[in-house]
Amino acid sequence: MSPHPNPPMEVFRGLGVADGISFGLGVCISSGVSDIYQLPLPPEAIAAEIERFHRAVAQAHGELCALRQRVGEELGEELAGIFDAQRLLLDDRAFGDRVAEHIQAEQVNAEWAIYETTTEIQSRFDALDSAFIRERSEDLRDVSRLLLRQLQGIDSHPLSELKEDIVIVADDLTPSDAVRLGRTNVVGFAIEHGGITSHSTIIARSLNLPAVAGLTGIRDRLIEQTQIPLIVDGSAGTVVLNPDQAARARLRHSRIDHERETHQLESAGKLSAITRDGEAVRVMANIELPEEIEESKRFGASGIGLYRSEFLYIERSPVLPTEDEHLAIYRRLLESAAPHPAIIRTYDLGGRKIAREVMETDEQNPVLGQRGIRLTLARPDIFHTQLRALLRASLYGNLWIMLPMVSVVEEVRRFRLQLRAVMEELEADGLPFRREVALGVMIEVPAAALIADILAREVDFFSIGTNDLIQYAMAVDRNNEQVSDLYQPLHPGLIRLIRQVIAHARTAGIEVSMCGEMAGDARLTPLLIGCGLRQLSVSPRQVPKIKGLIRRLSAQQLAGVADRCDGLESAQAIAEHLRQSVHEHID
Amino acid sequence: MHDGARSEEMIEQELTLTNRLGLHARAAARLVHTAARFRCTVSVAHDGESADAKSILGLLLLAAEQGAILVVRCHGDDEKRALKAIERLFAERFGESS
Repeated sequence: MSPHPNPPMEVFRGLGVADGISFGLGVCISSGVSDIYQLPLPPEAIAAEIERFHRAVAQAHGELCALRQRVGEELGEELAGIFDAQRLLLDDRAFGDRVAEHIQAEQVNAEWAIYETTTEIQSRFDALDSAFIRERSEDLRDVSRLLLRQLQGIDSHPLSELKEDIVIVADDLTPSDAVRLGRTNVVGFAIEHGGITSHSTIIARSLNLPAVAGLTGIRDRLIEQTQIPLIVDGSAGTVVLNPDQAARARLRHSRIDHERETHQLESAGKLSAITRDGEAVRVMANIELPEEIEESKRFGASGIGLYRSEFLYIERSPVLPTEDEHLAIYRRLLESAAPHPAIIRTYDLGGRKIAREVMETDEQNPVLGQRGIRLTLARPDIFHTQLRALLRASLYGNLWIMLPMVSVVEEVRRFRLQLRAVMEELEADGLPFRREVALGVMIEVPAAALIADILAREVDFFSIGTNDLIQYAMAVDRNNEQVSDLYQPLHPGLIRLIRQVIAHARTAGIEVSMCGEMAGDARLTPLLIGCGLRQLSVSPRQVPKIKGLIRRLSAQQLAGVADRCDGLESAQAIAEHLRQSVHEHID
Repeated sequence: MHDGARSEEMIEQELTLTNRLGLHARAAARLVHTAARFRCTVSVAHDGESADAKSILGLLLLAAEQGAILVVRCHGDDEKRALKAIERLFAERFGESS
């Protein structure tokens, strides 16, 4: 609630990570703990909210007593004493009074007040130079979690109760939060740190929600004053607090432009992707969420070139999706894409992608650890459900199964054995499926790219996953600002790898496509066509643009342009070569 | 509250933490339990900082380790019995084996 009738406009600049523009009320969420929102409450609801907190304390108290008794009986008094400390923390006036103060003073929900109080006490603990800090902090966190769990059972205040459009303001955003929140009345994300994970970014884009990251200080600003109306402009990378008349007018214009553009894209997507010299290119869509299935059709995608199945897991996290849940979404994908293929990639968990429930150990270097196919083979119990569902879904369309992170031939062979075992099991269960499903590998490990000729004997198709291929080939983390300039899609070494993979696939007579951001970058499309690629998978909104561009290209001429890249010394030299020669070959 | 007017009647005692873990969570919990049995106010001071002995948070934030000398102050009609009970708790090393 603002003290001014016309509070001054403030602009925060960050990095736009998902395009679009929207307007809503800023609502903070805590980092690390999901389901804690800072909800502004009307003054008349404050007393009831404090009462709600006290009831949660009473219930938590009961739960702790029961727990203490059980631990005492089973494990002994010494351990049970731990819960005494927690019970006292719960009853501590220094804690409870402070929570009530926060509710009262800031007119916020109990969850948020608990979060704030816990953070305050935590920072005092952190300031202590004592060996027992850890133990105390854990008790505090346990009590806070226990209370939050109780509160969720007591007339919780879900975000959807707010009728206004909401912009989520957070330190960081986990992919599962992004999905959960993105499906409510949330219209955009404003993230304090650059720490928005690439997965959250992908989700924001998938849901067509603008997102801006790297907004230093925005969270503190929103905590100090709630209910600030703001505009998130993902295209400009700005967040405008208390936008004035002019800013709101610009918002309306941008929206109209955006709708007009969408309309134009939809008509452009209807045209076929055939080069001037008659080469047909299949432009497919990358999909993470079911929401995008319809969208990809509207924009004219010829099938689904990459369904990242781990998003099904991220959506359901922390529970693993059931066989029926897998089956339902695969069926939708296949039916929608038919007669074109739907390429479903098996879980690419591990690495940086959340997999607490699956992984047993913390890895020192997860990006080089047990991820993708490595985890699939190591944990057949988890992937068994997915394989059953994939095979059962094969009846509904043109299923291509793709394995992520393959680096050795043996991985493909072992997967085939697993697949065969599942087939036998389905037969025994009397469940129908198709035996001939296409099996392919994602080419994203440089060593796999270098043995493409050998791998081609084992599989039906390749898909070049450029994001990881560049990361591994260049040994660079593109989220690390210190080295991100070395993330070079046009590095001569990378172009060689890509050309070699395409050449081997063509020699072997198997399909080869490219997913990953390089495929959707219109500046690179002429080069890719020149390299002989005839299948690309891009995000749904990029489909019409790429198709339109392909119609203006001559594949034959571009083959020469691509050949002449070989021998150029650097990414800059290749970029310059493309700039000079490509426009001659665009109609 | 009877502070101020009867403050001169307050009794206090210096006690040394001899248990191995100092005033950690469980020891603090026992101190809170003991203090809470009495009507009088009980405070514990360490290194110039004072905390309400009926608040575990306050006690924990004192960060008192083994060997620390604490000043326990009781104030109220049952202050003598309270101080005695707390002295006993310190002497018993809060029920810990060492």
